[in-house]
Amino acid sequence: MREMRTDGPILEVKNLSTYFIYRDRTVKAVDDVSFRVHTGEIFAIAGESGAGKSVIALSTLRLVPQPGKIMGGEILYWGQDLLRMSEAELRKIRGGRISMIFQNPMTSLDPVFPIGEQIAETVRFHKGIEKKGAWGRAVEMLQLVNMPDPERRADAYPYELSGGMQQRTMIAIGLSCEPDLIIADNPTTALDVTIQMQFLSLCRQIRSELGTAFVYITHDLGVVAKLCDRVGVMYAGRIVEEGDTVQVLTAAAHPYTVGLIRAVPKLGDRRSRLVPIEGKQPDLSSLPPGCPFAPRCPMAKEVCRKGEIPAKPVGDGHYARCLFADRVMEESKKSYREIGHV
Amino acid sequence: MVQAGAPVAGASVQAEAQAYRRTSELAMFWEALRRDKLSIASAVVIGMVALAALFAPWISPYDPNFADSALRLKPIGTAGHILGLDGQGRDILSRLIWGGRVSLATGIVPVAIAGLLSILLGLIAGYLGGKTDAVIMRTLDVFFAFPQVLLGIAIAGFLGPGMMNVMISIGVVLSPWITRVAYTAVRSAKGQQYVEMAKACGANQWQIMFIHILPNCLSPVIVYSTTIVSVMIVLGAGFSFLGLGVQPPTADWGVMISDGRTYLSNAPHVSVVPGIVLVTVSMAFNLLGDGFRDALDPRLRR
Repeated sequence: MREMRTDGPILEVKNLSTYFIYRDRTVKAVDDVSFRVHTGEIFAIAGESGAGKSVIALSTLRLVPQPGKIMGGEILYWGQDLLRMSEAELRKIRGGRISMIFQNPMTSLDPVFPIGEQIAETVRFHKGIEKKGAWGRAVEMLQLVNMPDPERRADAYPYELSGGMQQRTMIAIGLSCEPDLIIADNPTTALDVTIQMQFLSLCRQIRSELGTAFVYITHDLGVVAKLCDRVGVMYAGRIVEEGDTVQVLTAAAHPYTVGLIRAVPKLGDRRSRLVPIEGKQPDLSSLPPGCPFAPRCPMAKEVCRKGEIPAKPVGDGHYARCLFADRVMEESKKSYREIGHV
Repeated sequence: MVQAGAPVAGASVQAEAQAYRRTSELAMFWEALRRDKLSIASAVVIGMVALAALFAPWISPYDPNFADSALRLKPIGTAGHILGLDGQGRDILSRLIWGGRVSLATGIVPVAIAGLLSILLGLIAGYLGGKTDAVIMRTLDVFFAFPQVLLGIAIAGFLGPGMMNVMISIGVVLSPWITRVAYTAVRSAKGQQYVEMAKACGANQWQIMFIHILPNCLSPVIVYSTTIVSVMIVLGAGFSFLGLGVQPPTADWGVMISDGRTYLSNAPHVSVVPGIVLVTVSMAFNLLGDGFRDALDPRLRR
């Protein structure tokens, strides 16, 4: 196993902006986003569809499709800026040191190769071992992700596997070169709940056994609560609140986070109604000045619509981009005490 | 910790057993093809015709160019000449066997050459995109501006008569068509998520092109190519007819069909017999192409 470094953050994203530039408009999919991930930490990026979560994931490995462009910022991996690296250097990092797990395992696996070969391929890209050794490694990886009967499954084609097994194959590919960071983009959306639970415990197992850090992108706050150490809540291309998972979920300091939490159904609770957030996300190509959430925010005031809202510390490592963060937090704490959730 | 997961929900025991089969790619291809009766029949037909053409000097009952004017236009079943004789009194069976050499070659060789060239061009243009794409595809568009046959004749005429030159010119004429098919397949494969996945795993663009995109694009190219083999046999005959291909009296199925047209009313067998052979072989190529596609694609070969 590679020598594990423990000093400093493994990934530090600073002021990242990724825009999609069309002839007549510019969509600011990611706008001035910063966060850090430490060794062995599971960092969640949560938010609704279209908030720019996946674009962050793609930007990290410089895989943003046309016409997307990384406009500025730094993505430091152990202090090295990935945005200033050559393609060849970056290829060594992709899949070798930072790997990615995509949303849809069925379409992310190449349909014409047995899964073992796909795992072996990544190993060969990075480790330069010969075919047979790579195949052995593939079987070993399948075993690690608890694939039943790994030796024979390695010969199976993607379509011959269930969704859960396909997702495990994706993780096996991701883990095959012992990366120290895995970026998982909505990895469980295609899976049913029981398989999802298996997946989450697998992630925990990997983290505790291999010390791998995760950036876990999801819109499911339930998953965030169960798995992640820290969370960044995204809205309209920005991180509006960031902090320790327990803090954020029990004492949310941004009205959008509060809205997200209220919209999660709780099992066995038929009395309290789900509260949807009124309205919809603003058009990312023509954001209103001020707080992007102001048009939907129940407590928005005139000041919210003027000027940038700075990130305000509301606790230890807990930030929110809201002028009234303290008040929102007080109320969330109160309602958490009263009804068990925000 | 995670328990070993349950087997695939709902999959039958038999399907599971199949999924576990450890065999080489080639063996699986053969296994799938073998179960496809039409493909096997087609392969047998093509194989027989090819063998007959290959061993023509030994199995041909007569010299294909020997004319017995006393037996001109004698029908099918004439003693010693099962398939009859043509307008000059030459044995049709012998000419079919010898003609197979020319016709199969003009059908297969140019398509194979054009197919390989087209896959390469389509792959490069489709995957790299941008300027490379524009240069390759717009150059090929120029070829579409000419009528194909005329272009082929022009190239063949420029190179001079002869089999090899006909094959080259047909290959050139075909390439833009097959390239378009390959290009379209590459473009659609390029947008697939497994390509993004391969990139995220550290593959460079050549690895993506040849390891991931190429195998996913072969099916349409193979099917399209096999369907045009028969068209090429006929086109080759057209060239011969114009004096650009094989020179008389060398036999060629297309030439035989066209030679017979003068006797269509009184001795139809002179055209019909080689016509039936041509249609049968063409169909065999089409069916075999479909069979290849199915057997090459793991999703279709259960």
